[in-house]
Amino acid sequence: MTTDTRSLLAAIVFIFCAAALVWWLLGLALRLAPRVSALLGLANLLLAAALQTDALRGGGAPDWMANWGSDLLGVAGFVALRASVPVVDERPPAWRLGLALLLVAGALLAWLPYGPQPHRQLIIVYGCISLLAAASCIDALRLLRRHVRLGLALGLVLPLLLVTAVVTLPLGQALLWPAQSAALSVGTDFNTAWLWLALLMCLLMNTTMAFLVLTRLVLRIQRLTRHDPLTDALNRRAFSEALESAHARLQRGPAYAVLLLDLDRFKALNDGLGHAAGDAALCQAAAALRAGLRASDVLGRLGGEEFGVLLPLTDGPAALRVAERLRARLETLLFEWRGRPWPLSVSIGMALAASEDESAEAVLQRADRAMYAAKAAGRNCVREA
Amino acid sequence: MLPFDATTLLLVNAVFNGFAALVWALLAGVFRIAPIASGLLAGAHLLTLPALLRSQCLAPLRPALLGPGLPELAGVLASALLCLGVRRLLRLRWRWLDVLALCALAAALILLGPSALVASAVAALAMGLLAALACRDLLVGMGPQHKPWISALLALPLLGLAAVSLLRGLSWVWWGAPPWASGCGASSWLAWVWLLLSLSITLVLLTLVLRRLIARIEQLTLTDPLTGALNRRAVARRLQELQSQAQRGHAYSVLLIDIDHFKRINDGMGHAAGDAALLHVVGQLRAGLRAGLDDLGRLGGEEFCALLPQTGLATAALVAERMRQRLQDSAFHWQGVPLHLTASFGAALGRPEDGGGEAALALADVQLYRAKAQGRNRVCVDRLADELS
Repeated sequence: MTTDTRSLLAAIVFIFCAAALVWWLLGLALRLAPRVSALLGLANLLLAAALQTDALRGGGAPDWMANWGSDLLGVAGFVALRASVPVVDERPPAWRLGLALLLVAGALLAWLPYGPQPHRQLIIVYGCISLLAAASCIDALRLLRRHVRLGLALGLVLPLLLVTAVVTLPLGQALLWPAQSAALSVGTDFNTAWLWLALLMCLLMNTTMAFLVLTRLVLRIQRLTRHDPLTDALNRRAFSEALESAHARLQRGPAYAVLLLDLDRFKALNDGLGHAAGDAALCQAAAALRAGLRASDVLGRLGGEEFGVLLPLTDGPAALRVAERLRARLETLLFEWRGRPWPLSVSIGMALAASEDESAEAVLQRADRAMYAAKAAGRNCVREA
Repeated sequence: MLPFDATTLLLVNAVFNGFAALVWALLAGVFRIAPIASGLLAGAHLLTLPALLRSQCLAPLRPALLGPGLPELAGVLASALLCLGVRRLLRLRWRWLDVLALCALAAALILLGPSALVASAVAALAMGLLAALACRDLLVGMGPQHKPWISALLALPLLGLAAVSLLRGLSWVWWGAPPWASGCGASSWLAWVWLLLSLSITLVLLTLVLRRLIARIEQLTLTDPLTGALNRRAVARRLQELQSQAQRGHAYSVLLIDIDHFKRINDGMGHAAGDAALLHVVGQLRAGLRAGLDDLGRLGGEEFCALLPQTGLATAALVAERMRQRLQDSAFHWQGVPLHLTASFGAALGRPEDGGGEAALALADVQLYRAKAQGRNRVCVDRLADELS
């Protein structure tokens, strides 16, 4: 069975165009990562145009478009692909290297004459594309390492590595066997094989980027199931779980302490400045509390204006010191809403877990009673159960 | 213009289907996203590979192992898995008897039928019917919460598959051997159509997966994790929508609801009892609301609000009274101890001149305080609105 190069090329162009359309639709209709979707749609469209104009080489199209234009479109497609990678993680697009390479390649290709032996042009084009593909791999790996373990990150980047390998093949051919290089639409054995690989590359490239976007969504879901979306503190369920596991370790020694914090006169703030101001105050308070805690401490929002702090491996005096520090932090926090300052303060109840406590819930209830004692004592103070 | 080569296009289609099977398997195995649906769809793509060998163009690739009828059977099974996958992906009620019956009938006719011609016709017709089922399921599963053009766009590829398959089947029946079935070169346009359908159906299914993930994120950011009621941010957003409708003349009402003596339960019996009581109350309140139209939100602690679109104050007072009665009559037990749960209600009418609906909430809040002051477990209605109407 023989492959018809022209049909294969047409099918690949078709798939690139479909991918471009879908990325744009996803960005527009589902508002799914709109900037990534826009860049990837652009990358797919540029690559489709590059292959299509390449197919016209020697027939129909003006030379500058089929030669210079096609080569530059291919490089531009990979510039867009590389730019999109950091955007997946809400960072600015990486344009600099890509645009510099595009300028250099454009100038060099305009200066070199296109002849029957295009190996010099192929070296420039595929050299740039290989560099950009490799840069995309590195960017993607760095980005993934921030969120997932190394094995999974490598697995996710593997298809991009394959893409890089595919685009370095024509570079290798042009460097090692310059005499055999030919334009893509010429049906040499190498070109036929490479076009099949290009089909795979098209699929791999889009799948990898789709998986990156998917990973972002899944990580977001995982975070949201454990965290309060407003303050980013643990939600009640996750905090209770942390508390229970600390309590389970209690039998084997080290004590833990629980602080229960309730913002003072929060209803007055909500009624006086509005719920938006209340939300902003909660966010700032949570951030201030988190800044006053160790990495091993756990901050949770138990509901409304009530926060809980779990202090593992902490004795009574140390817990009281932490509570006092948190109280002072909130007192000195300058909260302003639309230019109007509003003093914040917090009442804190502290309870130290003891072996008599049946469950973590019992410790939390003692902390709750201590917190009410603090409220009764005039607010903005710390009481111990 | 030279004709395109059908063999190459069919091979591209085969590569694409193999790749798609791999992607679905990865989604199921590594990402654990909709594992059952993804597994079904991976199977559908995998079975499409032998089904593609039905074509005369790929005859040299057909292994001897694939006896007559087997590629046709694979095609029917692929369509069946596609249909089941769509049902699973959209979380529709799990039905498989219709699909199984269709498959069994088609398989019997293909394997026991008198000729290859009958087998081809039956396979094409069965694939068409299964694709039509999948198309209907997709439209049902998308439901009314999406814009009609989005649902239509997503259903289009499946509709195309159904139409092409049915037409193919009918043409086998009509002509015996249709003109394009003999040669290979003439059917390149059909190969393009198959490639287009394969591509678009896969992309539609991936879009459905994304839709599911996005819906989950929205649910997590907009609802209270304990009770599933809307959180305050979502209530504010919904209120804004109702407000813009009110400016166009559609009145709406707001109920504010506060559970009576909730602190006693929380402090006396623990937070777990309090949580169970909240869930019980939300269940009772929900039963008094119109599903899909009214919204229940939790404003914090034990305070809830119900948003009633296109409802006047008199009706809202009636709804509140019904809810109050239902809650009072309902039995709630915590660890065998019966607890008497009641709530106080304040009702107010949305006003067109009110910016984001805050005034309506404030008026309802005043009424709620009045209900509390009058001894709780009662409904108080904004009197100012009474005088106006």
